[in-house]
This record gives sequence, structure tokens and C-alpha cells, in this order.
Amino acid sequence: MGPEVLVIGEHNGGEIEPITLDLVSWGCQLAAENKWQLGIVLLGLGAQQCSSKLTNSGADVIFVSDGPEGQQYSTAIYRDTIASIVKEKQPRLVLFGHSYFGIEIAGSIAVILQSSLLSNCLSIHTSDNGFAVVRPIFGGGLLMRAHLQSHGPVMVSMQRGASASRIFLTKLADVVPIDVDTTIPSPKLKLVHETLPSLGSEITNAKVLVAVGRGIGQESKLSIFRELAEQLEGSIAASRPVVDLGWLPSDRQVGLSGQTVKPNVYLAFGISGAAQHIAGMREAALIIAVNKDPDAPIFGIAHYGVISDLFDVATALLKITKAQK
Amino acid sequence: VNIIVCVKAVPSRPKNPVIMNEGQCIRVESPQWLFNESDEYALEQALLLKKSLRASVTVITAGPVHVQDILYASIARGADSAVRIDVDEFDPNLLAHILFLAIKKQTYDLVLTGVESSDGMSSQVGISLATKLGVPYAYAITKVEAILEQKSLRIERELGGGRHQTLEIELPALLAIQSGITRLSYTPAAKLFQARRTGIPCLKPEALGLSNEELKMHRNIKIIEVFQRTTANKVQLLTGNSAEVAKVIFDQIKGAL
Repeated sequence: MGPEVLVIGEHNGGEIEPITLDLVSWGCQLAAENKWQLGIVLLGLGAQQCSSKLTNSGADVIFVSDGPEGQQYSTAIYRDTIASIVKEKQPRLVLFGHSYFGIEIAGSIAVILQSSLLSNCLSIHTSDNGFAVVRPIFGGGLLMRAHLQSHGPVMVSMQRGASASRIFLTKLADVVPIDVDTTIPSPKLKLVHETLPSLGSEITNAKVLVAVGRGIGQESKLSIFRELAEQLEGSIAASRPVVDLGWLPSDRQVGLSGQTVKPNVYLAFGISGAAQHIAGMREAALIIAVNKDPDAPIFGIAHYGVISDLFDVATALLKITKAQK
Repeated sequence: VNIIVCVKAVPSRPKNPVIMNEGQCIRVESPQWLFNESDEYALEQALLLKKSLRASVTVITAGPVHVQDILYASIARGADSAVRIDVDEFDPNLLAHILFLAIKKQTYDLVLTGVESSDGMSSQVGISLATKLGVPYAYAITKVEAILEQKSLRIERELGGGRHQTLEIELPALLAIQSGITRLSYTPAAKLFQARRTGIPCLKPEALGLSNEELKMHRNIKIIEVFQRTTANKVQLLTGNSAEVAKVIFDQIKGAL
């Protein structure tokens, strides 16, 4: 019998991804409350090195598969390996990150194991022989609480930053190597090449970011925000829709699919605050949001909020900024 | 080449959510039901492939009759046919199964979905559907090019943090299309008017062979409660005229630098 909770870890070849630490903290809490065991799965090149960073994390066991062949791991190999581990260990719960990696495998593993997945969750607790989770719906302004129960293991994926209160467990995890069959007879999905993001782009270095969203309405309205960014000696950034519309280039995009930024000041104009955007800017030291919609999720993370016309506020702010020079 | 596009209509301004059918779905009121954003891009991509490959495009949705407008809009834009499966479900595990039952009976080379629906926000249906169909899949696709002679596609996908991969995927396959993959085309009102006269076939779950036992087996999720998100951190709302608000913002910025 394996651990009751199994966390599917993510790493970038040497560093543990932050979302995995969130999952481990949820796993620790569930394990401590229910006297369960916690396991972590780490696969791919660099997994062994990463496992040593998690031996003190509160987990009981870490299943690791490293090796040079890990470099060619495809989604299908990860998926099939994790599915077979889950089949063998029969945990009550498998925790994935709601990341690109987690999204690509969790919904598939749930089908392979004839289980159900609840994705994009903010919290998880045990309830009535199953689990109760809270997750966003309808753009994130509303939340739903749902109960999940199945005969076998159930799957839950958690949003980045959704972290349990840390329970510190003093134990040392066993590191258990596992065999992975990395041969796929005829791969139907082949990697041609990978492009890395340009490092040290302007928006990741800026101390002040003036970020604009769909709420600005039209491209011609960008100029006032550009000027404001310039006056504040910062840069202009954008949420996904603005880049999709072609109003700003993709290196200006903040969020899960764009850049993660950590400026001193993040001014959000007309950005509703979809989870995918917030994931890229939540760690800004000061977040000020201006939006017409009082229900915009951005107000859930902003330090200061203004429910008002964007242009009135931007114009007034520009005027003060210029006057102070 | 046959392309199937899975689309969903989502409420423009959801109000008064009510949990229905013992926790199986959430009913909301909304002034309009619009194309889910990434699904609209998936349709647009399918229509581009239709032109270059002379493909036929079938649009499919699973939902009650008030979601039908997006099917007329799809036909007006150039889709060859549209089908609605008459169910009202919120669980993406079950929706993937229902779509699977409908699609497995068809001939297809490519299935397209969006990356996420704005109502369910699960990003799951496409991935689960592909696994049920037993076809290769990829998520968050930002570019699609046909490689005709090899019966495969060259695709580009996002990996997050500005990383991208170029891949080749063998057909039949499923791609979850990211918003912004192409420019959306304009739908002339006359075409929409004409499309509204098209009959849209409606499939009942029984016709797909979905038995009550099977439904029961898939029901592992029960919605207990729907509530407003309360802001965990207390956002301080600034009130007053623009000049007063701007002054506070300016002072805060100065303090943070």
C-alpha cells in the first residue's frame, strides 16, 4: 500500500517549480489531519537532484526517475508513467499543479484510470469519505464548493499560489527509484524545436509597470498609458487580450503564458484579473487596480482599488506626475 | 479532411446562480450567451484550414437550447454543419464523455477545442476527450500548419513563461487552441440571418447510447455551494474625484520606490 496522497512534482531540471511546493503544503496538511502518508513523484532529467531538496518537506516517500533519457520525455511518457504509479500505489488523492504540464496530463490520467478530475482548485479538505474543494467559475467572480468521491483514486489540480497553512512535519522522506519505460513504438507527437523566452526583458526589469487590459477599449487609447509609464520611469505591460489583439507585442505580456514580473509598483488599468494574469504579477510589492467593474477579480489581489473610468484616473495621475517633475 | 470543432456558449454577465439537478449543474441568468473566447478562435482556425485543405467543418456543442445562437453564428461564418447535444451538465469529466460518444461515430481527421471555457474554467475537456478518442493531443496551440503529404500538422504550443515548442502531430489528432491564434473574421448580418433558417440537429443523450448506469458511474462530483469571491486581502478602495484619487495613487507610488 502506498501513500494516501500523491503529489505530482514539477521541476525545470534542477529547480523545483513553486507550484509543487504549494502542492506539498496541501499534501502535508491533509496527511497531518488524517494520519496519512504523503508521496511525491519526480520524473525527468534532474529529478534526482530535486528530490534531495524535498526530503525534508514533510513527505514520507519520493518516487524518482532520472537518467539521460529523461531529456526526451514526452507528455505521453510522463502521463503513462504517472498513471501506472497511481494504479500501483492506489492513493486516495493525486494532486497536480494547474500548470501547462498539469493540464496536459491530469485530464488524460483521469480518463485512463476511469476516475474524475477537479481542476483549477484553490483549496482542498477531506469531507464525507471524499474531498471538498473550492474553485473559481464564471471568470473568477464566483466560486463553487464541490464534493469529489470515487471508488479509486481521485484527481485534483491546484492553482499556483493556493497554499495551505504550512504544517511542518519533521521526517525524512525515503527516496525510491522507479523504472520508466521511455520507449514509445511510434510517437505521434514529435518535438521539432523549442524557443526560450528572451531573458531580462524590459518588463521583468522595470520597477514600475503600467499594465493595460481589454478595458482600455481601443488601441488608440494606449498613448496615455505609454506616456504615464514614461513619466513614472517604468514600462508599459499588458494582459493577454491586448497582445492577442495585436495592440502590444508579446514581450509585453504579463501572465502564465507571458512573463512573470515582480515590480515595486503594478498599476493595472482595465485588467479584469483572470487567474492566468494574476499568476504573473501577484508578487508585485504594490498593486493598484483601476477598473469600471466592481466585481473584477483584480480587486481580490490589489492593495488599492479605484472603481472608476480608467481615462479620468490616468489623465489626473499623468497631470500630477508631470507637475511634480 | 474532416474537422470537428467543439464549442461552448458562455454567459456574458452571469447573475443569480442556482445549483440544479442535485448538484450537477449551475443555472445562471445572462443577457446574452456568447462564444467562449478560445472556442471562437478554434472555429476560426478550422475555417482557415477549410480554405487551405478544402476541409469540411462540423461544429458541436453540448448544452440546452439557449446556447444554440453560437451554432448559427458558426454556420454564418462558414462551418458546413452544426450539432447540439441536448444536455445540461457542468462536470467536465462528463462533458468530455458526452462529446466522445457523439464524435466517435463520425469520421474525423482533426478535433479542435478551446483551451478553457470561461464558465467552468477547468481546461480539461479537450485533453480528456482526446484520451477517450485515443488520439494524440496538444494544449495551448498558437500556430497550425498543414503538412499534407505526411498527414500531419506542424504546430506551435505555449509552455508558459514565454516558452514555445514547435511540434509535429500525426492525424487524427486533437488540438486545444489558444486565444489569439489568428484574427477573428467578421460575420455579415445577412449571412447570420440566412444561417438562422438552417435546421440544427439536436441529439438526445439516449441517442448517443448514454445509459443511466453509465451516467451514474461518471457522477463523482457534486456541486454543494456557489458563492461570491470575497477578497481575502482587504483592498482599500479609493473614492473621491479623479484628482484626489490620483494624488493618493501618486503618493503610494512614491512611497513604494
